Amino acid sequence: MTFINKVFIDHGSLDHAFARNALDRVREGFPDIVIEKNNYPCGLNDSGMGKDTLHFLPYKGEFLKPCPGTKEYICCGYNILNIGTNCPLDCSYCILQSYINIPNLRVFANLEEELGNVLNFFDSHTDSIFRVGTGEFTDSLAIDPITFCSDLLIPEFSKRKNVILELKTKTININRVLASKSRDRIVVSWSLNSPYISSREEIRAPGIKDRLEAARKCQSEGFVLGFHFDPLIIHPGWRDGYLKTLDLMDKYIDPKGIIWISLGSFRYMPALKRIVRKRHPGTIILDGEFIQGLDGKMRYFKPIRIDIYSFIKEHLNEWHPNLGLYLCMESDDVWHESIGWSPGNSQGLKHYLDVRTIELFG
Amino acid sequence: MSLNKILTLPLVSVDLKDISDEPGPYCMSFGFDPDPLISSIKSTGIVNSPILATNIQGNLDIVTGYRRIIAAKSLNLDRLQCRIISDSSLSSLECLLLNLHDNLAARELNEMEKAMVLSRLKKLLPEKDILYTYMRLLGLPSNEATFKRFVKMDRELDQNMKQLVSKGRISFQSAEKILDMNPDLRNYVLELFSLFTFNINQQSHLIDYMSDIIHSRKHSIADMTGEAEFRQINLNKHMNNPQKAKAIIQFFRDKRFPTLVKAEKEFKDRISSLELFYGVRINYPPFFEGPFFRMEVLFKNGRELKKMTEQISRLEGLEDIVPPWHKKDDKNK
Repeated sequence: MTFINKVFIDHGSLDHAFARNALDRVREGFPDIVIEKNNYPCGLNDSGMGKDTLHFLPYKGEFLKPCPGTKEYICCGYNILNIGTNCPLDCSYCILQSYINIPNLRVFANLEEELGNVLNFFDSHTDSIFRVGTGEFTDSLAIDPITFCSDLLIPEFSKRKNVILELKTKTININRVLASKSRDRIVVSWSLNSPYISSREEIRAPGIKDRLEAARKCQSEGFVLGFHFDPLIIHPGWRDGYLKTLDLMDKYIDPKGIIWISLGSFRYMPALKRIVRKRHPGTIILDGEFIQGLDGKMRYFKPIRIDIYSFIKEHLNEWHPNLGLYLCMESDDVWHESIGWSPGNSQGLKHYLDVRTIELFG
Repeated sequence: MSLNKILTLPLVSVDLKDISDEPGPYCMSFGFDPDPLISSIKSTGIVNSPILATNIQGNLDIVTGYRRIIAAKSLNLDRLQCRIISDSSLSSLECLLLNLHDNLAARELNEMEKAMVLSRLKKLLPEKDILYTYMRLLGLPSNEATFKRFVKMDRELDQNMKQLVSKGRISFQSAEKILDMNPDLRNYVLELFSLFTFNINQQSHLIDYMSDIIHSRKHSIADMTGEAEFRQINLNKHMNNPQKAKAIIQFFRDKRFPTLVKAEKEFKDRISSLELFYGVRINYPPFFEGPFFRMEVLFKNGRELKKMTEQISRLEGLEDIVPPWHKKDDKNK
């Protein structure tokens, strides 16, 4: 929790117990922290995105949104539960650097009240399976020790048979998750990379070994796990690098308790490049051969993507043949050439992952 | 003092030596071609007299008519009829706005001139006023990001770069990218721009390729420019300047995208080996990203189309049209 050095509180935030309790924890952990109410700078500046500033506000937008995906590539039909935006970690490749135009670690104070509407929506669509994640606009667990968001979400999602909650993280902040009595319908996921990328590009994030130790702990306490190799990045010695991570997975994790492993190669909107160059001048993530994809994003030239997916798939298959492996935002031909089959379209991939959900949770 | 009042001021004959060649605090003409104005003054004289202001030091600052004064000096005129206002009668902002409206009434400002205007207004007005009123007046989108970009360009570009941008030799976007480069690379790129004629698109590509290559630390500038292939482009007497510019772009593209360039070459070689006849072309999708190749057939009528498609279907090696990273006999993919 050492990364927070300031707290901003928007008008109306402290009407909500969720925010009041979180603020109490901040005060307890950081007695000298600066707390400002309703009067603070709110523009992004060149040097930072407010990654050290916690900002409570009532959110007026939709809390549940389908992942926008892209119609040009096969997407998985994910749903995003929007609990806040921005992340205290500072990964050089993070899309949020160009996506977010409001600074600070924004925590939505009215989450508890709005969660009711979200759950009502699930309850009125019991014929569908919803895979829901909180790790799209923020890391699911990075500030969980302050917000106790897991305490709020896990019991509610666990009750429902048609919903899966995925908590996606790079951190080792699993205490609140472990403290929960619920296990059903909860997936704790880690974003993984090679140790080289992790140490060089995933600034402020725990190392791969630490993440997998946390994953092992969760698995031993009965949680289903997910892993995401996204973004896969071509770098010097990438084959050996990713093998090191796969070796660590073999050492720490029982593959039978994994619901899915996704692979996605690094892709970015063109506007991100300049921001990355400025914020992370020593980065190697932009060194590869990037071309403009069908959705306008820059991505590795197709045979390079096929090469890296094929390599990881081959070694994962040696570890265990049934890991729920899938590609994130890829085309039908890349699926065939690297994974050996294709779901055909986004509906097909959603079905594949829904079946996987039923296999693991019933 | 209103403009109407200024226009009632008496005309005074001013010795041109008493007026500086520099634009001073109010003028925003930059990178202009004085020749048309010189011709005009030669034939009809100066219709609108410049307005000058005496500053605190007692010197004359040009409020309007900077280009007219420069043109008059080029014609070796000694004196010019001007209106002179005292420093106290108009504020700096009023002088600046007088100049701005005088210019906007007569012409469109170039990008560097717009940057000069915004940079000067920034010292005199709140940002929200500039965004709301003056960005629109200059034909720019009223947003903070654009405002900051323009002010930065005025502040950070050197005179040489400003000249190149104002004359359209370098696009505003390319100049921004050049500003992000390290000084060695920046100087080298500018040297290439001065030696070869790159169009705006080529400039942008060249900057991107070179920046990426240098950032990746795979090649240094000296390594690349020392290569025989690069030196031969420069020395080739059979290529004209635009052809050399194109070859230079290709040289750096080969370095930046070795796998892509190899794939493009392999595909083209495979298609050439098919010996397609006149009127038939086969192309790959951009960057081979889409799933479909494209065939174009020129035909005069249905009968000819039928004949051509039959001929095409009989061509040997059609099965070899696969993505170039597949082997030729990999026909099931």
